[in-house]
Amino acid sequence: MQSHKVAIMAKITTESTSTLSPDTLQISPPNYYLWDFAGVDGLQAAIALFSSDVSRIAPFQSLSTAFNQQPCSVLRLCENNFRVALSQEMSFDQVVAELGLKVWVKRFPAAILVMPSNFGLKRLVEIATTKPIYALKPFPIDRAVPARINGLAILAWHHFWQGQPRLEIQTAEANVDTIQMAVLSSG
Amino acid sequence: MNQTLFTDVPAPLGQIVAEYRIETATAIAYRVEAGQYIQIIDVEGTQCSDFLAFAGEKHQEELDSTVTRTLLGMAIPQAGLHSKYFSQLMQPLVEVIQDTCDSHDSFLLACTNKYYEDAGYFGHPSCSDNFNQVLAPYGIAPRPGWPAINFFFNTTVDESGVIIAAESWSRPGDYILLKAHQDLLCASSACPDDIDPANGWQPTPIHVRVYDAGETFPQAIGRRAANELPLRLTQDSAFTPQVRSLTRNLVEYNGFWVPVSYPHQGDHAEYWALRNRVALMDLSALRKFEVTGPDALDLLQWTFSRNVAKLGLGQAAYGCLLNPHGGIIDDGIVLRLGEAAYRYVGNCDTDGLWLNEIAQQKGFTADIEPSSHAIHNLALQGPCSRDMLLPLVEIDSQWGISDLNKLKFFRFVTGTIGGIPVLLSRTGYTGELGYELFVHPDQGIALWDVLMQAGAAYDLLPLGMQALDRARIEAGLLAAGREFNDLISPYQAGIGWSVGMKTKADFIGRTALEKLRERPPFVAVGLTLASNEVACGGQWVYPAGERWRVGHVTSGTFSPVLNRSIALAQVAPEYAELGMKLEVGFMDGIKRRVHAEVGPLSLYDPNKRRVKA
Repeated sequence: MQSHKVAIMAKITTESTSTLSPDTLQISPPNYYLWDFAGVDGLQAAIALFSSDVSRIAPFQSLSTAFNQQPCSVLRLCENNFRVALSQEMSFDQVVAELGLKVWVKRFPAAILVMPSNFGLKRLVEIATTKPIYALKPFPIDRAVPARINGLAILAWHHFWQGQPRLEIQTAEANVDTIQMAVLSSG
Repeated sequence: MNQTLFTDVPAPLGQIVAEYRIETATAIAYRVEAGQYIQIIDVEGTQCSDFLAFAGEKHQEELDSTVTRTLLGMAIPQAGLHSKYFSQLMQPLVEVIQDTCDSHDSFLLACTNKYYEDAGYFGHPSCSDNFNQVLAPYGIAPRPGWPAINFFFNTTVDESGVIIAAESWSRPGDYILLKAHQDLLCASSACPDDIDPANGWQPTPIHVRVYDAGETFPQAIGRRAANELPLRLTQDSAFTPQVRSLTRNLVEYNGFWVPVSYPHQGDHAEYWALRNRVALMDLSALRKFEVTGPDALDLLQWTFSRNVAKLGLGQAAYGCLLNPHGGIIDDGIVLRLGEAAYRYVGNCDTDGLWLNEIAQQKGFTADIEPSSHAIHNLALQGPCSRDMLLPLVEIDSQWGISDLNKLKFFRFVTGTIGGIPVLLSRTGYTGELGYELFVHPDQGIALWDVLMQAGAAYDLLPLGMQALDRARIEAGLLAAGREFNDLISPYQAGIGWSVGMKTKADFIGRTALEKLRERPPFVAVGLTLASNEVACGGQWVYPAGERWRVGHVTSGTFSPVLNRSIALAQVAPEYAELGMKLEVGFMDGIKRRVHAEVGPLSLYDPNKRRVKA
């Protein structure tokens, strides 16, 4: 993973426009761990872990909260499907298992690209397409939008992380180079 | 060219760039450019027309109905959000813009020589063979059977998995209007099948028009409610332009385009806005009829379940229109507007036909005028709705009250909201304090804007059908086709209280209802499930541990406010007692049973304190 990251950074350096810097995109950011859990009791697990506030958000909405006294974001993907961003490496799967509910839990297996919010909000509108029921403009905080860039599937997530707005793209590992190029090209 | 030589088909919808008559039992191939429209018209009715489309220089990309069904999650695309036919490369080739039949097939091949031969008819023409002939000049290899989109072909899959093909639903002049998303080679047939009912045993021609890409046509699905009524195309309400500015997630509901939910807001936020603050929804799909004349009261007393004679001016009552065997034709509200002037607000265009028919039968002097075209309506619902409206409302002086606080449940007044004339009724469909606002369509946008602007202080959200359905199930409010139909009595549907059995003399269905009241075959209850699974409708209900059934689920949802999976069900009266332990069968009813407890029909606020607050 690390060598992949270095290679991508090098590419960004050589292909960035004058307004972009090698730091414009961050791949697999440090101290950032995503977990997925889902199942018939998914909502009840989320309520048990993060409070009943979870029941007030709709699919593709998120909330900032704390877990183990550390900042955490919870993204609802479907009625009973959730993605959790944690700031610490930990055995989250064991915590979920201890609830004794009907859910599976596993680490998020794909890639994460983080970009500055202001840049990303503008850039995504230029390069990504969505189904009619979704919108990238406006793209409020604590929302996620499934979209495509050059035909490749992404999930863009705009949320608070450690008190700051953060725009990240989640996508398959195989798509990372293409997505990077699209984001950083001058358009 | 906006003219046609053909007089046996409906007038052109726009600028024609090409026009073809497909004679009986033949097919044609034709080119269409991206952006152009294809109208396929059933000239005489009851005639199937199979359709193929190819994209790419070598026609290598073709319509794929399996891809289409999978991407849409629907058996067949419909005008609206799920309207596109896709290729094997998952690219849209054509999109349904209008459809006046809405019954087509995407499962079966275009008819084949093999089909006819197996039935003993040799040398019979087939759509597949006809396609082979017209596609050969384009270098497209023949196939024994073409996986076509079979327009107007009426097929269904029954519970045992059998695909049933039957006579087409299409009437003379019915059409489907498609928009090409790429440059296409298309092929259309006039199906030659005369050996089964598909084409009514008598194949006839098909007509195809291609319209200019510069045209714009509104999306619409054609619905027929009765032979006496014209085809009705899906329409916008007065508020839809404002709704469309906020969401593109609209579906057809009862002849109108209505929002499902709003992006970045979501049905959960809309729901909580309704339960905790205030929400705004467009309910213009309700049908309105003005019932006036010296015998208007007698007519309503005879047809409507409630005792309308008890209504004072400015008073409304919820009930239902009944048929002679005690079934519910429709549910709705009667408002008394004047000494001999009432408004019926229901769900069906046919309600007016029914009222007219009964008036004639009984010799009542009453006029029944549809007024849905002149009255559209919003619902403003939620605990803050009254506070929000207070500074905006001016009540007309004839109602004797000037303070909105004094307007009681099921009372209405006329007046203005932000200077816009409205009829303001303290009614709703959510289980919350709320109001319905009836307005002339010309003033619809202005009313919407006034309410949205004033609502900002209360964090008002516009509310879509998804959140509304959740709320109405919690509140035990009935939906046509789910909790009632014309075979279900008010006693079964849970609104037996709305039958004026003790308060008025004879009325339609009384004799049958007197017997049904003693022991309806089923009664409506609320169920609270022991699992988080949602029984969204159709599941059977069983006594605990038994194999035999006692009822079925009519609607279900996950209730955010109760944090439980809940359902509305209709069960045998012996199993309807509060607290009764039952089971809901999931899948085949054997694999998993979920415990459920019988509760009141309205599981949320069963005493209706909130709506009466």
